[in-house]
Amino acid sequence: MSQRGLHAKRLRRLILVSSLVTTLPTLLVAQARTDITQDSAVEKEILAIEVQKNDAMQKGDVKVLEPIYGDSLIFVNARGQVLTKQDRLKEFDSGSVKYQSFFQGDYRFHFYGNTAIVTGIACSVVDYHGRVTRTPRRFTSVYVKLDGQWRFVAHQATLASDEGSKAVSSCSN
Amino acid sequence: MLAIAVLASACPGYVVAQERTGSQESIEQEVLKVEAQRDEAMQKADMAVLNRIYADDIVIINTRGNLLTKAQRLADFQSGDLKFLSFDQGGYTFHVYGNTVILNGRANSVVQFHGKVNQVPRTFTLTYVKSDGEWHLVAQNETLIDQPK
Repeated sequence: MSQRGLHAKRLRRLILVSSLVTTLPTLLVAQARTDITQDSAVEKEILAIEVQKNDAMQKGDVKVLEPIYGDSLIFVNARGQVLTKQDRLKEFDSGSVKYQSFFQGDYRFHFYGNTAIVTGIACSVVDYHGRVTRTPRRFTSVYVKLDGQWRFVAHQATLASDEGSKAVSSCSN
Repeated sequence: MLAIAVLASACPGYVVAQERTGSQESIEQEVLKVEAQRDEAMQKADMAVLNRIYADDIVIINTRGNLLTKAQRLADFQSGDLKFLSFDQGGYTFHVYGNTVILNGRANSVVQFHGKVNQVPRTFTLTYVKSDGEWHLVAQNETLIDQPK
């Protein structure tokens, strides 16, 4: 390669590197902003479903709950019992689960593609098979987007006995 | 053959489920392998293995209803605040949704956590997500099983 050709090659490389150095951070920031915007839009979608679900749970409205629940829903209640979609719907249908007051909050979201992990605190007072629970519960819910719809596919609740006061303060917001 | 054709037209979901079975089984095996590594690492407090398996933003709800981060859980193991006195976990059920696996099971391990020994069996739900070709634990929730009195 001639001296001029070598110089031109070096110049092209320099231009490429310097344009990458100037544009890459901008592109990365733009990508990060897009991710944040998308995540916050998905958060809103899921929160809207949570609102519908919470309302339906209080009313025992199985027709609303049925399409929100994934067919293979795995539901672990605060007693550590594992329930299927059918078990859970039957509880609402039969009146075995009745809310005397309802509050859920302190939602936190984590997104992994078509999967959303939602954690929160439930401070509702609930009559469950004749036993009233007032202890706050921390829960994890998993939503997966199936056929364009977010479905509630897993849930587990745990009594927040060890940090009762902290949980209650989250509930009173 | 006729029976299969009739079944396929009557129950398309059944055929889809059958087609998925092989791939689901292999995913279950992959996740079980990671789970076995995690179980061993928890007993040995092997931080390198746990650090690799736990996603950076994992959310853990322990049996006391505490919400823990990865750093907090790793610190529990590293300091010896969380120790397994015996280890018994099983009864696994899997639900596979693409790159996400929901794993439910029962733990009968005896655990010492911050000086308190817990012998009560627990139900747990784990969520694994595959990212960059590796399965990572992104959520874990444990609940004590209410014993009949």
